[in-house]
Amino acid sequence: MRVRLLALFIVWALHIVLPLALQGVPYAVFILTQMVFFTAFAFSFNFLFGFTRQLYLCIGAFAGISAYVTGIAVRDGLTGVLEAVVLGTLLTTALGWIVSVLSVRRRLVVIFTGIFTLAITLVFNNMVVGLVSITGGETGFRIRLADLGPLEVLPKNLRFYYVVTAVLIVLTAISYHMVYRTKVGYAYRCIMDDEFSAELVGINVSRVKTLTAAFSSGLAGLTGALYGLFNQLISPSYYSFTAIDLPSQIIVILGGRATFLGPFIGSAIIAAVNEALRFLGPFTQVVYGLILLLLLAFFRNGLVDFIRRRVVGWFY
Amino acid sequence: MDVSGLLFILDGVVLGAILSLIAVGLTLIYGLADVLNLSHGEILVAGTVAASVLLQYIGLPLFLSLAAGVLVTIGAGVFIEKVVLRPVYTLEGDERVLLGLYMTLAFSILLHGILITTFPTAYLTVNLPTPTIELNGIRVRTAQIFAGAFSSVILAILFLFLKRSWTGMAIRSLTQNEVGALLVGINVKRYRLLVFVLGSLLVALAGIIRSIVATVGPENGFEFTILALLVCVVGGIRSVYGTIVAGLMIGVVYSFLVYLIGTYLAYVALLAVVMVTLLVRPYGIVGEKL
Repeated sequence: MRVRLLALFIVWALHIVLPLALQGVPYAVFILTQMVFFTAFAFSFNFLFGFTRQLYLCIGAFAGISAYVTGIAVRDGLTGVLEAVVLGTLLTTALGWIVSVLSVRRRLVVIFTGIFTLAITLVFNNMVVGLVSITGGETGFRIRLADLGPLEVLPKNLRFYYVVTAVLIVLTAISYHMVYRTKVGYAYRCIMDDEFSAELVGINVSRVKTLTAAFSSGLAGLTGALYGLFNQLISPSYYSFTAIDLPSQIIVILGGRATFLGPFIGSAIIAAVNEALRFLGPFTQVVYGLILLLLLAFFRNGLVDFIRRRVVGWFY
Repeated sequence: MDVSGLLFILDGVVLGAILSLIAVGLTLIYGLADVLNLSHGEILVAGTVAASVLLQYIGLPLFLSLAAGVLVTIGAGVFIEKVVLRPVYTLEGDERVLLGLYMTLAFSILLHGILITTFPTAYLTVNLPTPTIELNGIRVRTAQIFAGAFSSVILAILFLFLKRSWTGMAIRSLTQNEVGALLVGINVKRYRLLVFVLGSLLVALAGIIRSIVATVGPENGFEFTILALLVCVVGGIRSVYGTIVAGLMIGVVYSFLVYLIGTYLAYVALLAVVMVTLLVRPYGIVGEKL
């Protein structure tokens, strides 16, 4: 639908222009960078759960694995920065692919995949804290500011912002084209509607699911590595379930489960809400639990669906 | 093996019995309501926090505080069933499981936030006035033996209740086939409430027994939920018998692993076992889906 594409273009344009407009306020740019990182994480979760119903509760762990691999490679001087990021991304792509193959091969129900990936998250957390000599344990370790080549002209915040935004826009554009304009995408939409019938018609559901899982895990890994380089501190608390998985899930539920606009809108709202609620301090957790409860009870299909049903109807 | 080995087995058995108590509640609730209650550990902690607050700040006698704690846990369980899960019962099958999981997760975050910010120092330790005896030069806390005996008795009563009594059989029939039980005339809503009450009661008792052996603090909620979930998965998420057996096994194995390779790596090994079980026998060591 043309409205959808138009809305996407508007969102992309906003993403490119906004930080330039706000360049004088470094804190605003910092918030925007965080927002864009979480949009990427949310996209990873959206592709996995929204599109192919694979409940992966280990996005944070994948991001963390990639971040630690990148960080250790950079800290110990094993490889250059770019090679380290590529290595981290490839590792998580392989891991995500293996997990998906195992789940699909064993025909695990959604909830068992969820428990399996939750176990992966716990393994990651405990191993990172346990192997103190390599990973620095609970405190983590710091790395020096990475050299990003031609982007060095911009201040640090803007550099990472544009790298992540570029990745997001390219990936979203390619995925959008694939899903809505090609035959492969048509098969994809069939799987989204009804997996069983798609299998009956002859679509290779397991191949699509595993490829999607590999792609999404790669995205999570890439974002995680960049997140690590951005923060310059790699510690388990940055990549825990409550730090990455939970906000991603809230963003996806808020924005709309199987849409392309959803994560963008959801992330923007959550970033705004985060800042608005900062005065609460330790009470933010209570408010987040309450928000999630209310969202699930009344607003399950998300904002994009709400707009599609209620608001678009007014215009026709 | 020397006597200290026996001590580890005792430790393991007591931990295993406590895990079984928590996990059985989880299994019953999943079997009956198709909801994976991720706030199970939080309501345990809600009970112990209530008991601790009453004990320390208001000065109620021990027995009354513990009873009040149990009531708080049961109240939280009923609240979950009646209020939090209301939108869930309109769905069926996979959708219900997913939404139930997310609703209870959200509720556990909410409850955790409330407990941590309102009562950050409410730790519960129950010191039983029983002696520490010496056996062959090893000091044994009889409190631990008492805790183990207490939890075994509760598990035995539970097992007999489920097997022999009419209500227990009604519950088991509901977990096996909800439509069939409806046809026979069993009121699903009433029994759902009953199973939540039963599960909350078990979890509250588990919390009290745990506080005999170790201190329970307001931040331990999620850890209990995860351990109970792991036990459920290994034991079979629909089988009460498998869960009890798995709980005892995991308790003993975990205690030994902690002694051998340290806490973090023992946890990792436990998680690896669970992941392998999920792949090889997703419905647990008992086997078929009931």
